[in-house]
Amino acid sequence: MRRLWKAALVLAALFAAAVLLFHDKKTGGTSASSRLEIYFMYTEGETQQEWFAGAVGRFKALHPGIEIDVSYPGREVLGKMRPRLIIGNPPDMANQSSDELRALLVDGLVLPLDDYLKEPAYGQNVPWKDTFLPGLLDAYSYKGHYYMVPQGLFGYAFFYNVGQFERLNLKVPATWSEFLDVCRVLKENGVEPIAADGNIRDYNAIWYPYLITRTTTLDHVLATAEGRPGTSWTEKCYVDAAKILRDLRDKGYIMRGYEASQWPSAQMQWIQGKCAMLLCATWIPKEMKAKLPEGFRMGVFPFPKIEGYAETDNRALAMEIEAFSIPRSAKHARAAVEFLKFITSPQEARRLVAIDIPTAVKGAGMPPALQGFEAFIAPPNKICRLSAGLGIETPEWYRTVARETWSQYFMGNYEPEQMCKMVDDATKRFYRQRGAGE
Amino acid sequence: MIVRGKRHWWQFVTHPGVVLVAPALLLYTGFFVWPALLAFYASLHNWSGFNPTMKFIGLKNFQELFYERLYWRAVTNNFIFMFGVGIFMFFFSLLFAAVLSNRRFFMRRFFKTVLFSPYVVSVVAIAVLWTFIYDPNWGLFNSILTFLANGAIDVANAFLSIFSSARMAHVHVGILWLGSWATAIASLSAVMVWAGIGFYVVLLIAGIDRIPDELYEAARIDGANERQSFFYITLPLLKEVLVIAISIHIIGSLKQFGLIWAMTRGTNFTHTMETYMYDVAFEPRTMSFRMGYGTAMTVFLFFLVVLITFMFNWIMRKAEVEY
Repeated sequence: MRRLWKAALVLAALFAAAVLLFHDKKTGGTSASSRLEIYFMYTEGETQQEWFAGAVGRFKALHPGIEIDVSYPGREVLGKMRPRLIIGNPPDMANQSSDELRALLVDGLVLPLDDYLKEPAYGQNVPWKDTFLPGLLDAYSYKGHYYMVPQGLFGYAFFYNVGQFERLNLKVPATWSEFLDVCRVLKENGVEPIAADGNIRDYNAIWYPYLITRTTTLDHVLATAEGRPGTSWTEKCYVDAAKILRDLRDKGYIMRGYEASQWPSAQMQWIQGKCAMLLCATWIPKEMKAKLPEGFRMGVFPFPKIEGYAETDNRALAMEIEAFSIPRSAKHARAAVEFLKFITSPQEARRLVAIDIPTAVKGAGMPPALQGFEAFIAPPNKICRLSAGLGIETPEWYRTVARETWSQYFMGNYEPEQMCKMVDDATKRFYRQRGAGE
Repeated sequence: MIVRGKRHWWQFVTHPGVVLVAPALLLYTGFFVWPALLAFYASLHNWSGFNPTMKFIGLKNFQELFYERLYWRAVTNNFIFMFGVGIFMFFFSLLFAAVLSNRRFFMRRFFKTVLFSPYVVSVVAIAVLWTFIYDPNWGLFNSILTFLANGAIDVANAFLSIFSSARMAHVHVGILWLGSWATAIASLSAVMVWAGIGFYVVLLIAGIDRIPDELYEAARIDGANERQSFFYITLPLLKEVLVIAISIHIIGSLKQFGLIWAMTRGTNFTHTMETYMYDVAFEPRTMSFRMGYGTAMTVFLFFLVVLITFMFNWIMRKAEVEY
C-alpha cells in the first residue's frame, strides 16, 4: 500500500511539474506581460506575413521600448482568439476580414477607434482617418463608430486576360449588353467566357446578389430580406435578375462543367487561356503570381451595370477589407494604435503594393494588375458588403434562406420565377417561425 | 462518515483498484464528462462563443433546430451514409473477408494490404485525390469515359466510312460527379466505401480466424459445401464482431465530417450534421458564429448516436442464436 501511495505521489508531483513547466506564461489569465501581442491572419511563408514580420522589425528599431510578439495562426484568427476573449485576456490586436471581425463588434468586444483616428497619422500632419481611401472607413463603420482600421482590399470584380481581349479586339464592357457581346465573341472564338468553380457556395452565391444591386437598390434588398411589408422576392427586379443569370448559363457563357468543378480549377483554366474572365476578389493577382504563364497580362473591370432600371445601386462594388481591430480589454491599446499608425503609413503601404497587395492607404498606388481599381470604389461609385450586405445585416436569414438557394440557382437548378418564389416563401416562413419562437 | 459494511471510506479510496483507476477517471471526468455537461448548458443559451456572457433562452435552440430544413437535409444525408454506405460496405467487406480468410488464397497478404492501405491515408489526402478523379473536365473518370466513348465513335466511323463520307464527331463526357445532390452523395458514398472497407475486412478476417477449424471439418464431413459453411457457421459465429463493426460504422457515419468538408464543404446540400454544426458555429465565411445553437446540434447528435446504437444492439441481442 505504501508503495502505491509513493507511486501516486510521484505521479502527482510529475503532473504538477509538467503543468508548471509547460504553462504558457504569455496566455496566463492574470499575466502582467508588457509585450504588445498581435494575431496576424497569414501563416509563415506567405508574402503578407513576410511583409508584416519586416514591418514589426522596422517598428521595433524605431521604438526600442515596445516589444512585439506576433502569432501567425492563418485565417483561424478568430478561432484562436476565442478562448482568450472568453477569459478576458485577448491579444492587443488582430487582423481578419471585416465581415468576420464584425462578429466581435456585434458582441461589443472591440475598442472604438474614433478618437484615435482623429489624431495625426504616422509622420504626417493630417488626421489618421484622412489617410485612407475616401468612404472606406464609413463603409465598414458600425452603429456610427469606427472599430476597424483597413489595410488590404478584397473587392470583387471581373479579372480578364488582356492578351485574349486584344487578340479578339474586345473592349472592356461597362454595361451588361456589352458584357454579353464580349461573351458571345469569346465563345465564337473557342474561348470559354467565364471561369467558375461550383464547389464554393459563397462564390456561387455572389452572382445573384450582385445582379440585384443592378436591378434595384441595396436598401430595398435589405428591406425585402427583413421581410418588411410591401416587399417580396417575387418583385420584377428580383425575377429579372434571376432571368439575366439564367440567360448567362443557358447561352453557355460559363465554363463547361463548372457545377462540379473544384477550386482552384477555374482560375487555373483562366490563366491557361481556356477561359477569359473570372469573377473574383483582388487577392487573385498575388495568389496566381507564381503560376502565371509568361506574357500573361491581367486586367480588371467592375461588375457591369444593367441598363433599363431606374433606381439601382449599379455603381456598387462588393468588397471586404482586411482590417485590424483592438479588443476592448486589450492591455496595451495605446501601443497597438501606434503600431497600427506605422503599418498604415504610405511607406509601409507601398511595400504591400510592391508585393501585389492592394491597400486602403491613400497615395500608395495599386499593383500593376489592379490599375484603376481605386476609381471603382471612389465616389460616385460606392462600396457594398458581400452578397449585397445580407450576410452581415441579416446573417441568419441569409444562411438559412438565401445562401444555398442562390448557390443552387447559379448551378442551374430551379426556374427564375420558381427560385424567387422559393426565397419569398422561405422568407415568410423564416419570420413566422422567428415570431413564434420569440 | 461514510461506512460501507465494516470498511471506512478511506479504506475504499485507498483500495489499489480505486487508486489505479482514479487518474484515468479524473481525466475522463475533466475532459469528457465536464465538457459534455457544459455543452448541454451552452445549448440552452444564445452565445456567440466569443463573449464570456451567455443569454439563457431555454429550449429555443432545439425548437429552432426542428424548424430548420437545411439541418434535416443534413440528417437525411447522415442516414443515407449510415444505411446506403453500410449496405455496400458490409456486403463487400464480408465478401473480401470470406475470400481472404481462406489460407490457400493466392497472395492473401498482398490483397489484405492493398485493401487496408486507404484506411491509413489521411482523409484530406483522400479527398484531394478523389476531387481530382471526379473533376468534370480533366478528372480520371470522365477522361476514361471520354476515351471509351471516342473509341466507340472511331469504330462506328470506320464502319460508316464503308458506306458514306459522314463522320460522327468526338465527344467529351462531362458527368458532374459532385455537381448535384444525388451524384455528389453517390460519389461521396463510393469514396467512403473505398476508404473504409479495409478496416472492416481486417476486423472480419480476425473474427473468422477465431472460429475453430473443427467446426468447418465437421460440416465438411456432414456434406456441407463452402457456401453452406459460410452461411451456417461463419456468419452466425461472426455476429459478435459484426455487431461491433456495424456499431463503429453507425457512429462513424453519424459523425461524418472530414471527407465531406474537404470535398464539398456541404455545397449542393451535402452537409452532414457535423459539417452543418461547424458551419453554424465556427465557419468564418458563414459569419453566423452561433456557438449555443451549434452546441444544441451536438447535443442532439449525441442523443441520436446513443439512441441508434442502443437500438441496434438491442435488436441484435433479440436475434441472438445459441450454438
